[in-house]
Amino acid sequence: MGPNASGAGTDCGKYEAGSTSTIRCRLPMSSLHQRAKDLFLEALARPAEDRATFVADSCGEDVALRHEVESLLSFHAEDSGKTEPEPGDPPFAPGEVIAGRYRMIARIGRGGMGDVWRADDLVLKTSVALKLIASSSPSARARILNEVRLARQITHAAVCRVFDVGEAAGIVFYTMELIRGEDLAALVRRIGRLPSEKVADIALQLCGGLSAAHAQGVLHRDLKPANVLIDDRGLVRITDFGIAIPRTDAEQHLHTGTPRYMAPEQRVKGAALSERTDVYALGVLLYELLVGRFPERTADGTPPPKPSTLVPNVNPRLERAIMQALSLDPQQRPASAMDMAALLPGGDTGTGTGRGTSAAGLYRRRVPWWLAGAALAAVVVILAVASSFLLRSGARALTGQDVIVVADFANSTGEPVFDGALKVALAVALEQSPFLKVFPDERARDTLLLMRRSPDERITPALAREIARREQSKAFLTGSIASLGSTYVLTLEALNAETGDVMAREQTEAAGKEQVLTALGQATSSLRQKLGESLASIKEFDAPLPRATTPSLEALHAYALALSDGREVPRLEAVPHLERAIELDPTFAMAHAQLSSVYANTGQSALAPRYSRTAFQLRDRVSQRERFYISWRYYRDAAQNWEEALELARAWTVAYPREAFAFNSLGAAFLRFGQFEQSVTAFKEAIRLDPKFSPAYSNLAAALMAIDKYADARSALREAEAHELDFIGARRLSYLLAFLEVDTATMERDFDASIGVRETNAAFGWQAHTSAFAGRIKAAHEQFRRGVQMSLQGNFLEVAAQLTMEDAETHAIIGECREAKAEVPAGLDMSRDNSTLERASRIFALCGTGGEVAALTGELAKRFPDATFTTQLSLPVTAAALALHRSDARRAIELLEPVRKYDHAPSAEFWPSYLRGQAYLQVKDGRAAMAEFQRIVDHRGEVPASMLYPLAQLGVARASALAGETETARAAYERFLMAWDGADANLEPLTEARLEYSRLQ
Amino acid sequence: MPDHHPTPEELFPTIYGELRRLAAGYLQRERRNHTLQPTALVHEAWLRLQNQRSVEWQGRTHCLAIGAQAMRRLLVDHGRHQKREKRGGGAAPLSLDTLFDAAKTGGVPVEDLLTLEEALSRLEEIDARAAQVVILRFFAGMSSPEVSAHLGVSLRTVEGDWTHARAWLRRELAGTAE
Repeated sequence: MGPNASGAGTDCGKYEAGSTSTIRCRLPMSSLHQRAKDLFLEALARPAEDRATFVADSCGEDVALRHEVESLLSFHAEDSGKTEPEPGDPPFAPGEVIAGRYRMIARIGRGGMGDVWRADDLVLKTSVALKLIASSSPSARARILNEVRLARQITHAAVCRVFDVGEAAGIVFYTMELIRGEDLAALVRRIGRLPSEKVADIALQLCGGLSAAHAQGVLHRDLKPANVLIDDRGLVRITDFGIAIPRTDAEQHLHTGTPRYMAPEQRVKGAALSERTDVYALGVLLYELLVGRFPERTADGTPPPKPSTLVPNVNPRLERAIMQALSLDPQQRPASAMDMAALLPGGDTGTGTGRGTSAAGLYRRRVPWWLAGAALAAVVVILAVASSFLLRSGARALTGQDVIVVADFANSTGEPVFDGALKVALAVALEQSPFLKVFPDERARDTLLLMRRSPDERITPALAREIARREQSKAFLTGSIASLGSTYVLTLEALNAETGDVMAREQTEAAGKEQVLTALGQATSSLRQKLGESLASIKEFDAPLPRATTPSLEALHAYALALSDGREVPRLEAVPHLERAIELDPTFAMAHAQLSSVYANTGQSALAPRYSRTAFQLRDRVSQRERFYISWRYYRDAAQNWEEALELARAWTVAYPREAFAFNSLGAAFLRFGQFEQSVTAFKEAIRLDPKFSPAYSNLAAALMAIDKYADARSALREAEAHELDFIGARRLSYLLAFLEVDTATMERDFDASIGVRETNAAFGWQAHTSAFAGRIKAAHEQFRRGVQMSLQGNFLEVAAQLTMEDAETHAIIGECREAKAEVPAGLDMSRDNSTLERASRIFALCGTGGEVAALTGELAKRFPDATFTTQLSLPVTAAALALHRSDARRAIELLEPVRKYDHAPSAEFWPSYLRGQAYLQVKDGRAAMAEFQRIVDHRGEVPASMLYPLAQLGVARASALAGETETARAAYERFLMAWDGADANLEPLTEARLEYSRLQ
Repeated sequence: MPDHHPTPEELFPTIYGELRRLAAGYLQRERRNHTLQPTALVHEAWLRLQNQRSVEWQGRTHCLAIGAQAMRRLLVDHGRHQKREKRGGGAAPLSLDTLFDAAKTGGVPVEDLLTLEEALSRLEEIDARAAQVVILRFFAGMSSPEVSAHLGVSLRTVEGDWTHARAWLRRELAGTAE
């Protein structure tokens, strides 16, 4: 073929690309390109040694063409050696189908033996985890086959199911259950350690799994945190029976296993291994979960330190079980996983020995009953998964995701044999449909719990309908069987869950008992078709109902309205809906808790405790997930016990490691304690888990601001804005950040945007603080007054009280005690919440009015005995302020010493450091005073507009003058005088500072 | 809505949005490495959409093709927002093979993806179909038979395009390193 004979470019017209790109046939560029391409491909079809001649001949005089072809060939040649996969690199690409069955989706992990991929099983239409075995030597291959053979024998909810083994491109692989979660090693790395109860729970699950394996004669031999996965419901699965061997072969074992977790006998070649070997590894694993590190032994073999000597709140039974499992002598350990389980908290039956210690029994007792059901109904579950996959691939693909709830069969035959069997048979028959998914029975039982009914209750048609409505299922199905002489009549009805209308009906007869199942299958088939058509005509429901425990569907609807737009944190507008929900069901715990949340978040903290207390009292009647939330609200809003709140949040993140709300709560608790770095990590995790969970962004911004990362804080706020988070907390942060960045335009914008919004009269307070910061006390006073006035008009008494007290405190700080004391009673009339009382007592202490202080602190101690920051921060600070006023600096220092751990807590508002600094000045200890004031100067982001900040500059000046550091003192005086350049005339600190500064000259 | 195939106009913004969200998540998590797995991303975006709404299984290649286009757009947009450091004197020449291999096995540095994208857009100018083949194979992770079916051209044509385009791109990328 000659160089010009190829019909260059004629393809262009015929070829149509997708509508997203256009084809251009531009000459001569593409013409040269096309000709070169054709020649290049033709050349490649020839033996390598002939190519040069071929190209030279074909191109003739066309030098450009020849260069182009030669250059392409050279770049082709370059890769020929390289395209071979490098050893160790998985030769598969995402999207590739291997072994004709698995489509590789993405690599999800790297194991010691090889990579783990997420893949779609095109035959079973489900997602699986696919593990590639890096080395496929004959021995490895044999080992894998053995592994799979063994693992397949074990069916237990706590053991990762293995499905299939195969080979592709010379690489052996096997598939297993895809678990969305992480391994325990990662969890411990992330969280540090787990609370005692959670470890006990995991321990029982693992004992169940191991015991199931041991019952099959299989030892795991490499049990370690990295081999245990935990999913988002807190359920664990043991994976990697990679080196598990049948127990009969145990004597010939080789050194395999991970040394740190290996029992002593495992390190000795030829020693007998037993169930106790796995029990030892289990002990190490549990120790590590509980303590956060590996049990260290000294060389002489003394046992590792008891967990309770290393961490608080260790359950003694758990500790005993773990320590016993860690015995070096196998005979000293629990004899089996079951024996180990019996030693654990919650592991005994209380009815004597030997009973109830079967794996299944144990499992059922410990984990939520609905999960235990999952293990028993494994076949049904797999069918369900398969069919949900089929939904997307099915030939008819009507509406894709239709789930139907199936009621229990009405059996009037008097023959109990039909009771459970027909429902299962019906579910299986229905699952064969490409467009239907049966709502899993165990989830229906779960929903029953939320409806505060017994999970064992018969699912009558009425219950099935309510379950369907709650779970956004369009339809529900009822079935009945009756006998007519020797024949049986089967009736199936599909009904619209919203309207209750019959959508499809099928009746059939069976000549005898043996024919019943066949008849049911036929009836189901025709029902399925009718149903598919009817389902297609139902419109989707508007909004899903949230999952919460209440027997009243109406109450649940009202609750859903409160959480509209998918908000997890309801706003003020939600109050009527929540009140309605409570009216409909006074025992609706979550509605109480959410109402508490609204009040706590809108400056009405005095209203919140009532609701969170009620919710807390009802907590035993709700699901575990709700219980965490309710307890959180209680500790936070009612008890204000932040130590408990922190512990709870920790446990919450462990139990629900995929719940953004839990991490947000953990971050909030850290934030309260001034542990900003930890809170940043927690908030980031919350955002990672749910980028739409908006409160986490502004919380993150607050934490970042506190550690002076202003730019990062600003970008977190921008993200909050991008998520349409426009609530007052974010505005306030934005305002303060702008204040730190001296960005008056943004400050104005934030202020303007906040005024007039109902719950936001506090914005006048922000403004007032910035005025006071600059020593403009009169202006601040005016701004505080306006805020108070507007809050009173809006009936936000607590906000009004807060602004009043802050105004009074500003006066007290600069020694205007007459003005300060005059305002306090008015503030207390508005609200006696603890924050108001705390500030009032501090004002009286600063002004030396001892009697008033005693009355107020007495009230606080009595009414808020558990409130962490009231008892441990506010009360000592007030006492110290009073001592200082009485010139008893030693006493003040003493009182403030235990408060040090809360120095950075935002609610400390710099007071402990400031008062300590003043006290050291009084006792003429310049160095110590400097350190205290400097702490404030160095952490301005914690309370950006605090008036104590400029005054701390003055403190530094005085302290350094006292310490004889005149230059430092001069600079600090100048900074203070500059900050108060526009201050009101005749302010006491200012007059004094000027005088001291002039003496310094 | 039986048998409704969403049009590319309907799907593109959805897939693009999903990809952007996913990619942002990855980039945020991997701030230090700043790498992306383009193929895995496209697949993941598609899977998510499939779970969220009833994007049909039959439309798989169809959706993935749109996903691949969306991925390119994402790269272009990302490049526009970032001040790009040109691969300067010290940088090793960017090898297409390394890039393709990396895309299979793990993350590809975003910089390199941007460079590839630029080269691809030049190829698109002169040989749109070949560019399409590369995009479908690389970003959508399709096999040659799938590409052939999707574009409605013969398998031989697809393989010719693929072989040639790789040589062509390899040369382009070698050029950028200078």
